[in-house]
Amino acid sequence: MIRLKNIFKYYSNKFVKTYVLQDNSLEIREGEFVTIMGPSGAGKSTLLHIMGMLDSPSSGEYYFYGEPVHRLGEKQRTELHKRRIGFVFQSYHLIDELTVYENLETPLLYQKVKAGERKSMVAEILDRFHMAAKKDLFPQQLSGGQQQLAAIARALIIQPKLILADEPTGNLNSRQGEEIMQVFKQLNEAGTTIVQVTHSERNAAYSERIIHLLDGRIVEDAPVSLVGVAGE
Amino acid sequence: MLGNYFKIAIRNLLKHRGYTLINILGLVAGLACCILILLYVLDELRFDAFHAKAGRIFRVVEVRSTPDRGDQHNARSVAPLGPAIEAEFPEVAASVRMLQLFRVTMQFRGNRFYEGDYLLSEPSFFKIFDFEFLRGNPETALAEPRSVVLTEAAARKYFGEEDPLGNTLRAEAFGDLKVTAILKDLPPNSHLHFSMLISFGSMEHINWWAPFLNEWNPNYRTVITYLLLQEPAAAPALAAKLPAFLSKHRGEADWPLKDLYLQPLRDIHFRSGHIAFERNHNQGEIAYIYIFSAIALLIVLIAGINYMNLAAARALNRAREVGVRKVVGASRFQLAGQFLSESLLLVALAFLLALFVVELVLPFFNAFVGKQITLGQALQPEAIFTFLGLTVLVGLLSGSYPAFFLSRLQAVRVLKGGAEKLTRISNLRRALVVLQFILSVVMMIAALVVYQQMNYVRNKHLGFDREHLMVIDINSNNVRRHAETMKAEMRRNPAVLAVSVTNRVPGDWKNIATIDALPGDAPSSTAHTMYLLAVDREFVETYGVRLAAGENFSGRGGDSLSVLINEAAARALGWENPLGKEIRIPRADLEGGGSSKADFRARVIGVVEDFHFKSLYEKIEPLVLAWQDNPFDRIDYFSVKVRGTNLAATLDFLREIGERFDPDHPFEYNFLDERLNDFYRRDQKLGQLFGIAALLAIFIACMGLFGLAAFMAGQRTKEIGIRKALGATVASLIALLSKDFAKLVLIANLIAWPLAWYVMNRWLEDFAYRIEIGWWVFALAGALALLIALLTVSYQAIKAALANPVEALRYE
Ligand SMILES: Nc1ncnc2c1ncn2[C@@H]1O[C@H](COP(=O)(O)OP(=O)(O)O)[C@@H](O)[C@H]1O
Ligand SMILES: [Mg+2]
Repeated sequence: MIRLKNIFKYYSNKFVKTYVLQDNSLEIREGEFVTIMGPSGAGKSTLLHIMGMLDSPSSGEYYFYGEPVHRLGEKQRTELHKRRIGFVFQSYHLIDELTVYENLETPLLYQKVKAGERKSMVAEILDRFHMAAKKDLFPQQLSGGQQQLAAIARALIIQPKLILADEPTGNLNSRQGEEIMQVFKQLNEAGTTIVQVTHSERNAAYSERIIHLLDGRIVEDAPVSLVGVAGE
Repeated sequence: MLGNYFKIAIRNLLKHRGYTLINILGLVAGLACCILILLYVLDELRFDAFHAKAGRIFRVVEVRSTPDRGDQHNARSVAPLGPAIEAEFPEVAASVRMLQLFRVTMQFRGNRFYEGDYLLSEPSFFKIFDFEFLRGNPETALAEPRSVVLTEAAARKYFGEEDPLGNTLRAEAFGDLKVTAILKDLPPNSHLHFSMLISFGSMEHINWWAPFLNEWNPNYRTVITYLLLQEPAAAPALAAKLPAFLSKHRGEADWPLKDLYLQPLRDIHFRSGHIAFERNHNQGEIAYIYIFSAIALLIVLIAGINYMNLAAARALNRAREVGVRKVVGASRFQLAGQFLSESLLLVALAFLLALFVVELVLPFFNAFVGKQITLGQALQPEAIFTFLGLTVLVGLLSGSYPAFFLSRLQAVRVLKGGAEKLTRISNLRRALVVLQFILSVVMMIAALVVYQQMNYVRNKHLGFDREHLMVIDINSNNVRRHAETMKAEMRRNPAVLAVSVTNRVPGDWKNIATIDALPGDAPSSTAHTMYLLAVDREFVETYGVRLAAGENFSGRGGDSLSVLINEAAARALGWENPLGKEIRIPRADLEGGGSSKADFRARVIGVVEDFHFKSLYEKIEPLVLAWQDNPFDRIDYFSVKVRGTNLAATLDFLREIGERFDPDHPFEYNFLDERLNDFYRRDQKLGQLFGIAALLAIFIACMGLFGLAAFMAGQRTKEIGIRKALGATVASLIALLSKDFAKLVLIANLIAWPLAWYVMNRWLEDFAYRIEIGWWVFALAGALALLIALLTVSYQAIKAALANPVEALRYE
């Protein structure tokens, strides 16, 4: 599904290049549940954004379902990611001025889904996340866990092949975090590929494979059992 | 999708009410001003458009050229011209002549008025022009001699409730006029204006009139001629054939060189400033249309910049939304669409409010510009299109910055919180503020300069005393014959200080006659064009004109062979010492008529110091003061110098004398200083307009500044908190926050000053006598702009500086 080859990413300011990612190659197959770990500033988010086509590498090749993303323009990349990739962030990133319902509806608007269809799709996902009662509330009126659930629901509404989650439980208490991880697990079992960034060993245990990033380099990439993280 | 855009737009507007209010207020002010000006411009541009054949109608204009005064355009032509052109040129479908004569008294039963607002014309008038008939037949209404067509208002004025049709109106000089038709009152934007039309044939029984109807002598130019062409394109070719046509009919090569051209009907309203002896109701000036339009555009520009600036100020808040939308799949295009539809929504809202404001201020506006515009009648297709276009344009322009700037943001950058960079006030936004203040300061300086010049014009000593001078019209020959007796009677009242009779008065609002003059022994080809005032012995005293050399008229006979001249005339004639020299006036060639073939010779007995007998737009030109009995012009006015106290009683006294000698005409008088001010009325209005525009521009610019300052104070809350915690005083914090804006306003001033200096000097060039623009004008405008800007900013600065530092720091 995802193939990264010799990915570099640097930021240059005043003639000094700071490398954030250095020569990373990586393959993720459909149906995998991958965790990226590493200290703050290691480049985890950057790597995730590149995978999600929100950012582009300074050099290197990126194939998504065999498609050479590194050769596509911004417009084509948007077309590609908006149908297949759902994002979840640490700080939820719901639109404050829209209700839960309208937040969920927004991705469908950008895909030009017809009104009737939109309605049933939103209703269905609200049901699935037991949020139907909250659909007319604004984000500030929800707890953090509920907001993150709504954000996940929004990511899922387009029925993505890939979910990219950047510290999705970072702002939540452990019970809420647990809930989110359960949702991920079910999704993964139903066939959705998931790549998450987390600092929590516990969350990592839900996945099958852990990639360790240090100073912009992948230093370790192994199945969970081998890394030796204890499950529940 | 659009519904979603609007939903979020409305929620955003409601959530940030203060910001919305500032934004909408600025837009409403700008748009209202713009709509008013557009209404004015559209109304002006519709002048004379109601004639169905407007494109094919032309007015004949004559040009005369003299070395002294260049081309002189004249709307009058000789009476046989129209019919002859119509007969000789097949491309001319019809012609009509109009004649305006002296005022006459008219009467029906007890309703008697002194009527000057009539025209004599021919049946073809209604073939060419479209004035709406209420009653009567356009074909025959003017066919018979002594027929009259009344407007509704005139019919009501004379006949009241009675049926005017078939009734007769008794008119001095014309006899009994039969009412043959009633016209609907004329539309306000018609350059032709009259309360009644009298048939041309009504002149026939007046004997002395015959030469005026038949002669090709240019001294008999009396009628205004309009032509209806078969098609508009024929005009240039026809005009080219006119000089030959004219010399064929005039025959004698002796007439001063003349040319003819055809002026399109739709040009008459705007482009006739240089044409004398025309009839042009509510004459306009195309330059004013340009100035007005420019001001409207500038104000809308300022309001649009405001929107952009405020939108940019809120970019940080919106940046996160942009990031999120991009993540869930929005394209740049869709985001740009969202911001554009948001600004369109806001502008449309502001537009509706602006229409409401326009409706409220329209009565004042109408009074100011002398029009009767109503919103209802103004909303014709072209106006609606213009307004829609304006709304869309302003919406798109104002929305363009957020649309193109925000939609370009990278999702990752803003979501990571890297949007700090956006929060700094970008150079673009600085430039926009500077631009707003440049425009405001320029308009302020313009208003100040116009005000100053008008003040100068009002107070400048004109070389004669204009105060307490009453000018009384002479309307009958009986008064003319008994002028000396009347002067003696008037002087009996101690409140009357001096009385003079003249043909015209200095600063005359009608035209002052001109003559050709030269030294007695010089060849005719060296003649100079000079103005002529026919005066009496008391003129010098009454007007307080000073003698530079020689003496005044004696008043004891023999005066008609003497003249006084002004210093400019002495210079023109090349005389160091003009006293005793002979002046020759080769041929009576007065524009207004009167003819004497013999040369007139007179001796210069005195020289008067130059005085402004025309407006201050013009240089003082050579002037001959001839005795009241002269071959050129006859006396037409009393000028009475009165005491300033108890004017009403003096007026009654003079009125009694006037009415005793002329029982047939109402007593007419003016105060000279008031009439002199009429010259400058339009420029005074221009000054007021600049003043209002400057206020508006400053107001709108300050709204923007206010929003920007609020934003900036918000951004620096933490910094302010820390500084306060470290012991900064409130004053130092206010200074810190205001400094940036003060700098911008100062920069704006530096750019505005030379710009305003240039523009206003160009305007001043219209005046032959004008002020120098003082440096303090610039300083004053600059200081005002700075003060207003600082007051605006300081509100926010003080608020921020007074806030509790702990509050500010706790946010982080
Ligand atoms: N726009 C940017 N300009 C310069 N440096 C950046 C930018 N964005 C991120 N970085 C740097 O890249 C490094 C990696 O960032 P990130 O991928 O967010 O790390 P992580 O998510 O692992 O904490 C950090 O050191 C960060 O400072
Ligand atoms: Mg990160």
